Amino acid sequence: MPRILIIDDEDDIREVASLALEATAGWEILTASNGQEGIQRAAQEKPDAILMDVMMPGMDGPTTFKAMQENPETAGIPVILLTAKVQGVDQRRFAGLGVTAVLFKPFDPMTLADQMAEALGW
Amino acid sequence: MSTAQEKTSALIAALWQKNRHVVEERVAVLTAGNADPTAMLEAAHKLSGALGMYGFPEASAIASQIESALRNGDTARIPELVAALRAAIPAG
Repeated sequence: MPRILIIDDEDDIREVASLALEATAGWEILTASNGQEGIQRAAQEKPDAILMDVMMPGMDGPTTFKAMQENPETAGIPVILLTAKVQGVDQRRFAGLGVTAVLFKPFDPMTLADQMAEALGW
Repeated sequence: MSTAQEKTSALIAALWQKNRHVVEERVAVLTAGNADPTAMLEAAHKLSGALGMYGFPEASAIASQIESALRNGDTARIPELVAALRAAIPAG
């Protein structure tokens, strides 16, 4: 069973995304509420993929992703960024980071697992 | 709709009832006359994401309009948009 780490500072987003991925895909979900905690959990738990918000206080998503890339323990974990921003400049910036995919908020809980699976090639 | 989707839909509806007070608190930030612009922007941004996720696309779109108006300094439109937002969020 795939294990997914969700990193988002908003409690209700984490809650709904967790529920959606568990209920629709049967995936095991781990959560973290900020980038620093996410880095620690990723290194400890070695999830199969990470779904991470872009806009978080403190360490934002791109900064957290770069820190994970610099750590051999987490560098190989696919990361999907979740963002409300849809401007072209943001899309280009995120694409240039090397993340697996960028998904947009608001997401549809019914199709979130399918979107992630497609992006991850599962 | 599959059984898994029906179950998911019911669980999300239950989460909406549990968490709707968070949405109401964020709307209240937008209606406070002396609110911090940064706090208002954050509230509008979070409302847009959460309301869409709970299945209220019209309310989510209005929250996005509020976010855009705040970013553009178009504050004159905010009261009208917030009233529309309140009307688009299902009661009770």
